[in-house]
Amino acid sequence: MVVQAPSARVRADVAHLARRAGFGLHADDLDVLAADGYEAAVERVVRGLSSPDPAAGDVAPPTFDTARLLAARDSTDEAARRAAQTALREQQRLLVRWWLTRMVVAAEPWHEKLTFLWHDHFATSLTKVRYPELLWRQHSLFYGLGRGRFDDLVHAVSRDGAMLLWLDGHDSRSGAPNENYARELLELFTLGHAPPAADGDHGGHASSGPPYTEADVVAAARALTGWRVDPATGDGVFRPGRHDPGTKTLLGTTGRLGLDEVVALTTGHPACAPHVVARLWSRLGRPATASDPVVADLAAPFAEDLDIAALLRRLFLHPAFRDAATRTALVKTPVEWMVGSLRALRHDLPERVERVLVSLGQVPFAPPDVAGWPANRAWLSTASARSRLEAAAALSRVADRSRLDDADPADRPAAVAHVLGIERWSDATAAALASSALDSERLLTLALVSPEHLTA
Amino acid sequence: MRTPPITRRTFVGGAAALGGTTLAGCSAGPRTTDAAVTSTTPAAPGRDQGEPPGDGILVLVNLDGGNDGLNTVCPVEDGRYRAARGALALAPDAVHTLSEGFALHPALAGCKELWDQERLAVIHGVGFADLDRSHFHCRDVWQAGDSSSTSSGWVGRWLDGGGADVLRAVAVDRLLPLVLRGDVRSGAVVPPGRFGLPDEAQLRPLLDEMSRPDPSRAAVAAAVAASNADLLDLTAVVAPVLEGATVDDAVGSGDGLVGKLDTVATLIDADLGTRVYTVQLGGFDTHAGQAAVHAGLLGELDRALTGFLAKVAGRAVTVAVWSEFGRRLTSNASGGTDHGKGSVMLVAGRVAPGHHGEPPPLDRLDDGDLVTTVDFRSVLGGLAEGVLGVAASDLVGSAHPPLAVV
Repeated sequence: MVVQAPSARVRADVAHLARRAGFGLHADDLDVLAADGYEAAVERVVRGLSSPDPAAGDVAPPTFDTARLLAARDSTDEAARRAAQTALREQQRLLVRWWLTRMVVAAEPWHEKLTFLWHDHFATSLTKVRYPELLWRQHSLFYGLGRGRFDDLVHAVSRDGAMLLWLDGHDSRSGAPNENYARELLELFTLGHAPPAADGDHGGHASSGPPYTEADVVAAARALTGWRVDPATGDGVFRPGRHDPGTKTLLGTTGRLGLDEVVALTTGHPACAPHVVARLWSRLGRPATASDPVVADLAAPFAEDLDIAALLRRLFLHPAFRDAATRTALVKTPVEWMVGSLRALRHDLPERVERVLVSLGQVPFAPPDVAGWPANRAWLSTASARSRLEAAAALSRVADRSRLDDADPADRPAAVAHVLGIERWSDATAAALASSALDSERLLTLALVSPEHLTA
Repeated sequence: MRTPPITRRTFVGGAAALGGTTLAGCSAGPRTTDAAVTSTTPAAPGRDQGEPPGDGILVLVNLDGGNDGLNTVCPVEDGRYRAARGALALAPDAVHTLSEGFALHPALAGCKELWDQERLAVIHGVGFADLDRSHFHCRDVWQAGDSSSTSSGWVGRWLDGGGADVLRAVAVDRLLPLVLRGDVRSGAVVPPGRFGLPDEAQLRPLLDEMSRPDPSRAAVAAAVAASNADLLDLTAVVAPVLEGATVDDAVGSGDGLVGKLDTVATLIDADLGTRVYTVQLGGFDTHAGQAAVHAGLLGELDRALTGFLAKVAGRAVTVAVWSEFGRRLTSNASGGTDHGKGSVMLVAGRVAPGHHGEPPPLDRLDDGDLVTTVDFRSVLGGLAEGVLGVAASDLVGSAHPPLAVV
């Protein structure tokens, strides 16, 4: 198929969309996506969220034998316990590689990226959950529900096996509620910690605290008692005998509240839409708080329908998404940088990529804590710069550099910009690339650690 | 066994200490230097030759997740502790007795030796007034040294006021912690292990060219360029020092505290002029099954701390161990403890040893939590003055008088 080259403006806009909504595209695929203009590209991205990606689906997940691992854990046979430990670690490693491979090979990576964003929002780690099968199921949950209604998503997350173990819902019961999940549900997942935006009618207590109280945390914890992980299936199951059926008051509503009511009251609270939108806009657009005007624009309709796909469409079509400040506002996370670089170069996942991501501080399924990964300047330490340089040099050595080698040395800085989907180099970067143009390996190494590629 | 003199105990008047003046004179008396000082060490920058405070090296150890202070420095004789903690209460015959009814967790045998050598201080009841049990808020407040704005760290502000040397403050970590982030300058981050550049002879001049200031770059891109430039400066100094280090990586688990403090000791030994180091040990959010997890973590802390202090013996090094909050007095039904408020801090090495601050009474709780008797800014201020030699008010404000812990 011959694709008419899109205009430079449209190609740059669509490259920005492909980076933020996905992990970037190979230069040829970018031309295809940009062929019908920016709005059509947004439509294709949003529609793509509704169907599984065949290339990603072809990546076989590891074989889990959770039942055997669980049985071996309680075995008195020391050798069997050790073998199970080794198998567990190997399955954890394969699970991480499985997801990274999906991100690299997906024809349309939007679905994978959105799943990764929800993993960051509802951050759950192998370090405590241990059994990779549960995190694999949680990935399916985000993949399946991540573009639907936010309240459905929260409902499913609240009874997800990995989450029940991660934030101790599994151990929470009537008379002894564990507050861990309830607190993070309010603070991180739905309402946020920031004081509600000032709207002038708070009367005497123009509050400076979060939109919920300690009593709300306890009430939510009581209402969520009874959910357990079924050891046979790894799914959440409701055990009425462990549930606290008493009256609670959550966010001003009193009743015999349970999971349904907790989800409705939190996702229906006025603080929820601005908080969730601010988080997504901060990862897809630019850093913002719940009181940011763009967040307010996007949160108003989202509060009405909680429709995530509709929110994303509005976000990518919002004028602020394409403006100059947004395009240069974010530092790529290590996963975005690694996956994006591999996709641009059409290179398979390297053998030792986990090590690189450990050193850069971002391993899928192993967020540092329930708040997810830090953002932006947190990735710009000297340690990160060193690890990136090492990984870039290793990748440049083995990558297909034919598009660079085929170009005249004077044109190579432009050729590498085209490969990486970068609109233009700054003068300092252009000068360094020109100095290295005779050696395409070094040229590519430099381009991969350039400020323009890190912030694109 | 020696017991630190009772006069070291610096009882202060509860709430008055939070905003009042009672703390100002609470640690009067001769400053005690690190007991491990040896007269045979030659004079060198950062060496403790009995000089006045303000010339030391500060090592901040963060126990992330909310360390259970009550099971770290335990009021082992208090019946209310035993009743509230049930099965999680530490057995009186397993703990390491300090004085005045307090004892260290069984895993802290090395810290007990430090105590006996007058190289350990315990600060009771540390927290802040609006501590709200949120990991993320409290963690930021502690690092900012400010409960109203968390845009920069308190050490970062010290960096802002000094020169451009990238080595003045170093995190041995992967990412840059808020505490080392200033408005214009930031500390360096050195990962545990070796530290070199690939293809350095060829890439250094090219990277140098790419990293030069370029006004056409947006702010975030300029920050990327600056971090690449810092890397070049740092590598020139640090790579030779860490040449023999072993790499210490594992998927998802992060790096051990022993390895991180080992790297700090190596860097200190090289006399690079670094005044502040930060390291972190995570996993302290013990909502369930706390006993074994907490014992393992404190054991790692104990090994790391004592091994480190042995390596830097003779130097004016102060280690301050902090966590974003303590945990609830009453344990939960999952064999764990939920988020609390005020907690205990350990300060080791060159310190004013013994107890500081007023232990929170177990019969006067704040919504089930220990009350705060010492504002954390009093401790940070004391470290700023006693170790860095900078006025506390420059870094953490003047509302909370510095506590003389060094």
